[in-house]
Amino acid sequence: MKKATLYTAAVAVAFLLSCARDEDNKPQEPAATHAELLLDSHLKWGSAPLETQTLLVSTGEDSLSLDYAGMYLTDFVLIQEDNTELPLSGQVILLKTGSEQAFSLGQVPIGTYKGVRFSVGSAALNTKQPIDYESGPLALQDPGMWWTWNSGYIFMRLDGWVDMDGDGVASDDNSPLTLHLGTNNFAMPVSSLETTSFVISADGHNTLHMNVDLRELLNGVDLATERVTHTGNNLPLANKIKTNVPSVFSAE
Amino acid sequence: MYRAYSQQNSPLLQPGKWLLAALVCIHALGCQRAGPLLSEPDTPQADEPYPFYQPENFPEATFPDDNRLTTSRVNLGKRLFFDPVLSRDGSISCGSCHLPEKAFTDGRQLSAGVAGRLGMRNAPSLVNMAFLPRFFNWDGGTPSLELQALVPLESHLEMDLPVHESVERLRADPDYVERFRMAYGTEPTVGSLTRALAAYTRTLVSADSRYDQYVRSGNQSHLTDAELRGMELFNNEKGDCFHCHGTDLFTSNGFHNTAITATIGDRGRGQITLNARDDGKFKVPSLRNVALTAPYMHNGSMATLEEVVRHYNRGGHAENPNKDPLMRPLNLSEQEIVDLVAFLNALTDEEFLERHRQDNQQP
Repeated sequence: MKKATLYTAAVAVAFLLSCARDEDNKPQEPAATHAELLLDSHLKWGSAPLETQTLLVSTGEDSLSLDYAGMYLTDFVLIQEDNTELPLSGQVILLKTGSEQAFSLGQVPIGTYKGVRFSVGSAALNTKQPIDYESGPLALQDPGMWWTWNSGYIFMRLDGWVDMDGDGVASDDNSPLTLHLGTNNFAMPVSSLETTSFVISADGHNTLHMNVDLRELLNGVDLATERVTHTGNNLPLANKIKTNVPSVFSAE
Repeated sequence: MYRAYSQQNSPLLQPGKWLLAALVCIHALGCQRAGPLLSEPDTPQADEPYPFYQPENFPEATFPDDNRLTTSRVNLGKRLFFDPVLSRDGSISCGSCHLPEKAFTDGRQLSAGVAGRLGMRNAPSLVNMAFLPRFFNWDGGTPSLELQALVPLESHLEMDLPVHESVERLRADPDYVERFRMAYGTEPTVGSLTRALAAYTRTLVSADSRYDQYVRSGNQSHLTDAELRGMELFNNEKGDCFHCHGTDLFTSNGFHNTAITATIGDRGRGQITLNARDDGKFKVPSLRNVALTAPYMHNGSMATLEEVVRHYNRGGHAENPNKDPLMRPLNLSEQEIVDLVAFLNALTDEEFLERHRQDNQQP
C-alpha cells in the first residue's frame, strides 16, 4: 500500500511539471507571415468630429442635426505594391454613430500596400439574412439597418432633422431627414484610399486611419426640398447621395 | 448496457487514486488556454416530425433545412401567432388580421394595427404557403416565410414592436422559454421566433374543397352544373382566369397589373424592383377559399366576387399606363358571370376551416 502511494505521488509530480516542460520543448515558431490589420474610422462633419443632436451646417448652407448615421463597409480589397489585389473576403463592418469605430480587418500578409478599396453595401451582403445572427453587424440593429418590407440591408442610413424655419434649432419639431439607401443595385464602391502606401509588419501596430466626412455626402443636396429617400421612392435623391459617397472617405 | 458502479468497485474510493485524479484535474485546468469556457451547445430534444399534409394534386412542399417541421415547432408557432404579447401595446396578434374562420384574412378593406393604425394593403390569406418557393407579400418583397414574419412584427402600422423587444418579452416568460428550448434547443431568439411563426404558417394547407374532391375522384357530382360551367370558363381562353390562377394552387405566384385603378398609385412590385415596368403589379393571390376572403384586390377595393369578375370582364381601367396585356374585355354574358362566381364558391374548404377553427384556443 505504501509503495502504491509513493508511486502515485511520483506520477502526480511528473504531471505538475509537465506544463513547464511543454513550454521548454515547444518547437521554434516559424517567422510570421501574417499580421492583424485594424481600420480606425473617424466620423466627421467637415474637419470636426461628428456630433449627433448638434446643429450642423451643410456645404449648401442648410442647417440640420443628425440623430443617427450608419453604413455597411464590405468587399475590402488590399492593393499590393505590384498592383496585385488581395480581397479580404467575409469582412463586413457596420460603422455607426455612438459605437466603437475601430475594427479588425483580420490577418493579412505582411508586406507593403499602396491602397485599399471597399464598398458601402453590396449585393452579396443581401444574400445574408439577419435572423441567422444573434449579434454582430449582420444581426438586426436598433436603429434598423434591415428593410423588413423589402428584405435586404440598408447600406447607408442617416436620420436627423432639418432646420426649416431658420431658428437655429433642428430637432423633432422640424422636418425629418431620412436618407436610407439600399437594394442590390445600390452598392456604392469607394475605389481607393491610396494616398500613401502602408506597411504591414509582424511586430507593429498595423492600423489604417480613415476619415469619414458625412458633410460631403450632402454636397449638391438642397435640404429645403430633398430630405427623404428610401431609395425606391426617391431615386434622384438616392443617386445624388450615391455619387457623393467616394468623396466621404479619405485616408488620414 | 447500463451498469451501476458498486461502491466496492469504484476507483474513486481508493485514497491513492483520489489524489491522482485530483491532481490530473488541476493539471488539466492549469494548462488550459486563456479564453472563455465554452459549454456544450444546446441541442433540441428529440421531437416527432410534424405530420404534414401533402395533397396529391399539389406540387411538393419545400422546407428549409434549418426549420424542419416538428410538432413542438408548429405548436410553438401557433401559440405565438395568436399571442398579442408580440405587439407593442399587447392589443393584437398575427391572428387579429388572419382569422382562421376567414381563411386567415380579416374581412376588412385595410387591417388595423396597434392604436387602430390602418395598413396600406388588404390582409392576404395565408393558406398553402408551404408550396410557394418565394415571393411573399403583395409585392414579393420577402423571399422566405421566416423573413416575412419580421414584417408585421416590426411595422409601425401593424404590431410595431422591434423584434428584439419581442424576444425580451418571451425570455421573461418561463413557459415560452421551455417551449423554445424544446422546439429549437435555445432560449427565445430572433431566429427561433421567426422560424416558429413560419413553421406554423406552413401547416395551413387547404386542399379539400368540393373542387378537389371532383379532381381526385373524377366524379362530377361533387360540383353543380353552374360550377362545372364556371370551371370550364375559368380554364378556357374566354374566361382566361387560368393564365394567372392556374394549377391547383390557383396562383402562378407571378406579378400583374390588373388595372384596378386608372393611375398607378401604389407601385407594388415596382417599389421592390425599382423597375418602372413593374409599377402597379401585385402578386397573384390564390383563389382557394376566395368566397371567405372579401374584400378583394391588394387594396381591398372590391366587396364581392361578382364585382371582381365584372372588373375583369371590362378588361380593367383602360387608362392605366402599365396595364397587363392579358387584361382585355372578356365579353362574358350575365349567365357566364354567375357561373364563374359559382365555381369560385366551390373552392371553399370546409374541412380546412374545421381543422383550424380552434387554432386560436391556446393549448
